[in-house]
Amino acid sequence: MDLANKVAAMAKRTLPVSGVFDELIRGIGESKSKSEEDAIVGKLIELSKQKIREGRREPRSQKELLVYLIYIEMLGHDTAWAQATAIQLCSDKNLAVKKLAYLTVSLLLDPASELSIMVVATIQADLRSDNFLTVCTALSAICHIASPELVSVFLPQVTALLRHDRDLVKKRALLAMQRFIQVDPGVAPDLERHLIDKIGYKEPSVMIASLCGLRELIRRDPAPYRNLVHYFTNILKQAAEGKLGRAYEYHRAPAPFVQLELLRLLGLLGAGDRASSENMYAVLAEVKRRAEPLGNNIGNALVYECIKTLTTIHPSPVLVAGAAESVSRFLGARENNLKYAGIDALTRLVLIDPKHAQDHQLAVVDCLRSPDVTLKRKTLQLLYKMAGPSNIEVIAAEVLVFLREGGDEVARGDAARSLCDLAERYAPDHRWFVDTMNELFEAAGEVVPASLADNLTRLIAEGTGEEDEGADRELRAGAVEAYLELLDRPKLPHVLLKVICWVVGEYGCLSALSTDSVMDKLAAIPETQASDDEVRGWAVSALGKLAAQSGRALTSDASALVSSAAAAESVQLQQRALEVQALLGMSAATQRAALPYDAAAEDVGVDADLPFLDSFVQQALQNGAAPHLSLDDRTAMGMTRDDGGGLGPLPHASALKFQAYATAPAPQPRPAMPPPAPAAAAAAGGMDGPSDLDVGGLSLSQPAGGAAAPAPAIAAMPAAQNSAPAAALPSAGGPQLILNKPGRKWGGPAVAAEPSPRSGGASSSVSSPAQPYATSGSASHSAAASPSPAAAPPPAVDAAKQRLAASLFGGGGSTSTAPGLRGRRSPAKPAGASKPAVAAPDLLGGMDVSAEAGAAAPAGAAAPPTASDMDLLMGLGASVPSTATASNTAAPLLDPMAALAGLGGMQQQQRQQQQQQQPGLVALADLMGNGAAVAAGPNMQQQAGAGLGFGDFLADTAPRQQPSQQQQPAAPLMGGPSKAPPAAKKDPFADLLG
Amino acid sequence: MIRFVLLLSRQGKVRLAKWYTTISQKERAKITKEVATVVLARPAKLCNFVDWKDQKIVYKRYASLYFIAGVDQEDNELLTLEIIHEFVEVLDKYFGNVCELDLIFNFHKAYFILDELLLAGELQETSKKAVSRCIEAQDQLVEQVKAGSVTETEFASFSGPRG
Repeated sequence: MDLANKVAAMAKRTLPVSGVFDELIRGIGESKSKSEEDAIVGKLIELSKQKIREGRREPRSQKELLVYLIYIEMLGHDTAWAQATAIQLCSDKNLAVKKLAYLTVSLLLDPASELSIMVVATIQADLRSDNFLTVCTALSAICHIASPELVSVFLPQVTALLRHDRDLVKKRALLAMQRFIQVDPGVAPDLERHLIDKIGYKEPSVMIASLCGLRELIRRDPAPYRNLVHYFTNILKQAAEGKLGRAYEYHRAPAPFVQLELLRLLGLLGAGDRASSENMYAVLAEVKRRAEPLGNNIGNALVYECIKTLTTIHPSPVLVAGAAESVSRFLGARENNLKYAGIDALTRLVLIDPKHAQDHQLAVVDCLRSPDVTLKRKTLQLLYKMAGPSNIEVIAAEVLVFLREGGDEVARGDAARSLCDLAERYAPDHRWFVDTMNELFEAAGEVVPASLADNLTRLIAEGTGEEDEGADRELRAGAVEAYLELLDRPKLPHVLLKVICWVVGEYGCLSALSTDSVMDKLAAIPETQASDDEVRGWAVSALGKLAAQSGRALTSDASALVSSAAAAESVQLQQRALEVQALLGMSAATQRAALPYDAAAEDVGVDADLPFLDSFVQQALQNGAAPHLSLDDRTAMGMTRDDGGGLGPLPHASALKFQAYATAPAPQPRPAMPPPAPAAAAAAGGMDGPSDLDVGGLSLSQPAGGAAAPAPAIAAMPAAQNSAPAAALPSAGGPQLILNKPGRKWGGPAVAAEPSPRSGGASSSVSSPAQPYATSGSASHSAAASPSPAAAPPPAVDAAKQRLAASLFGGGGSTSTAPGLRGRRSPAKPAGASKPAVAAPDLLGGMDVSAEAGAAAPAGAAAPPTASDMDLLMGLGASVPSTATASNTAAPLLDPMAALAGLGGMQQQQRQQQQQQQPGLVALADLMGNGAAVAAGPNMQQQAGAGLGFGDFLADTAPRQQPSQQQQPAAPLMGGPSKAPPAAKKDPFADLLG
Repeated sequence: MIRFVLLLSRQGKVRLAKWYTTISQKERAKITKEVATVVLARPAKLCNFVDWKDQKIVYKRYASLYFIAGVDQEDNELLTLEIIHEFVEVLDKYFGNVCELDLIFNFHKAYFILDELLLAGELQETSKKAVSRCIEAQDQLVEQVKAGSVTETEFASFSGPRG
């Protein structure tokens, strides 16, 4: 080796920095604690600051500084003090310094930072440089700092660089364009032509760069680019045949990265377009055929991408069959990575044809039982796609197991949401739904969305929706019993506790226990459970309801809880307790009027104008009160405020600037309100001085001080009305309890949609949409009965696994052999066969309407929001403050208004608020339910299609034992070289590339 | 696209961090910490992918270093694994048997190589040879500038950590 080479080789491994830095890095490597490390970084920072102060111009010193900065930043310390220096160094003449400075800037600078503007001029100058490396560096920097404002600044120069004579520059210019499209889609039309021009470029790396840019465009709107399909298929064919040259070969695969990029493009272009898709079939098959025998990771990546593509485009039966074979190879592999890819691919195939899942049931169950959470989660996603009425119970049980195991919050949240979604869609009966939800709350209460609790309470309050009081009563009594039992367990999640309080409060009298012991149980909640003020508040309200409905006094425990709550620090809790105490002191008739039994779901009309106050308003006006100005009036007069809490100015208003705290709920001064104080004072009967204003005024100044006090309560109502349609539409992702359909069955509409054209083979025997349960149930039953002797499982396979697989994939017949899966369910009630007895009447009832709709449009009854639906939404919105407002506005009106000026008045208003909350919960759930049902139309159809296909039982239960094609050599792991002495450098590298 | 590339030591120390999305410094620190916890805790032989928040983490351990990439949901995990591997191969070719020490003391070189490979979160050069060529060209240019100013003795003092 000649000297030059030796020197070059050494140069690679030398730092442009001094031994001081070397020592510091070592120190950090050896430091044991964070504080030790921080101290060293502190030294490093000091060193850098010193360098900046010295401002030495020689390249070595400058490079050193930049390397320090990168290192400090990498260790997570602030570098704002040095950013300007780094930017300055970008314009250095020395290329090495310049490159390093650009790198530092791209690492240090927050892309949103204003400082990035400072680099613009330097970059523009560098783009004009003669040295192509400088130009390249500048183009890389553009990719990092590009922001919407800067795109137009750079665009002309970057476009001009496409004519540069170096391919390297052209490539980077194209990639910079891609970045431009990402940050500012508006420039796409200008760049489109340049990108398309370069597809045919002879140098592959430039061509690939243009593909990246085109992907951005195609992802936004594929339609205009469909004519490019034949270019892409041509290039893909050449790439697969290795015509791009050996330089692009990677582990025996010819240009795999190019192939993958093209496959992705084809997937985007072919989605939903049959003609383009058909043009791709041949080349897709070819790519897959060539990639298959490679057997290494890159080959598998290609096959996997092929499957992804061919499941996105219009499906071809031949290709799909081929894909299914590859999937079985993946699933049979020993490597988890391949299993993961296999499960993902299978999830895609199942959407095309559910029958594919049956071939791999044991592999799927294996993955489900894998210790690898990633794999498990992916498998659960597959199960969601496979779910249907016949296997929902097994799937729900699996999801619950997953949730109980704990883990990542996001994963659990996803699982919980999916379970709710499925349970609402396919629940066999109400009781099962309530039970499942209870288990869900118990297993994962902290990640369950609050709306779900509302759904559950609403379901219990409304019952089945039919005129069958007995069934409703049974459901509620069952729920109450279950909840009272649950209360004996420790550490229930908050959501569940709230649901328990509400349900027991509302329907506690249905319990077999005496009302007194129910009360005691509720009163014990704060002690037995880790509860906060909120839960205590719910418990107090529940006690109030129980006592009012049963006409009994609170037990001693219960009244102790209420009195302690009445002295609580939390104002809301205190308020509730005081209300309960006050209400229970009144006559039984008043109590029952205020808190009637089972009225949570009743509709109550409310007149938002509060006409019953008219006479009072008149009186106040006659006494000289100022007329009320609505918020609009005040805004028009320039006296704006932000919320409804404005009262007359407090005495000390001028001394403190409340204006600054715009969002605080505290009373706000209204500077220009003409005679504000007299208004409220007059309303309060001129009783007290300003100090009492906020108490007296709160409930009484309704006409004068503005709808201020009642505003929070009442304003909610029109707001709910307005938001009803709005909330209904975009909530597709939300829960979808479909209760307002005539059938009032969660499964109703979804089931009606099942015999959709997509469900293909397995369900094609289902002719009448009105009886899917019965048909699929019996079909699966008979199918299960007949072939099972033939399909004798190989002895090696775990029997339990078999059963699970059977119940997941099969349907009714075989579930009965696995009663242990869900202990609480009676063995005599397997998924399919015996169910119709229970479910059919409901279903048929629910289906007379949907069957017609289903016949006309397979999308099912759930799709269009009919006028009556909307009315219902509106009606419910209006009834939000229902019972409460109506009943107690009626009652206290008889009392002299003066009584309201004091605490009584406050209580009345508080009661309004409190009671409004409870029906509000239900009403909101209603809105959600409806909205979701409306929005879920197409989605549901697809799911249903996927769900029903498992009607008949698979014949082949034998596991596919595919010998693992390829085995990554397990890389030997060495001890950390960071600790190793420099002399030991020799060997750690062999294993780095196992 | 690739959203970030992280190199972590077994102890969770950052060896290299590159971000391709516009997120604040604070956010970066948070992600680094969380990703380190997730990845370092995973036993060997599980799959190299983790679903994490709205993205997927693809990681691979080479000796004592974890190479980690955060990618979009729709990305091909197996491919990302290969991109990581290609990065390692190029590093290996450049340093000639790369080890963690090379990356500790020459992290800026590693950044340069990564920049040649990935730009704006996309694979910009798929040919290993082209990447190496480009890096060599830059090194030579730097050497030309340096020529004469660097002596053998200086080299000796710099190459301390490598022996």
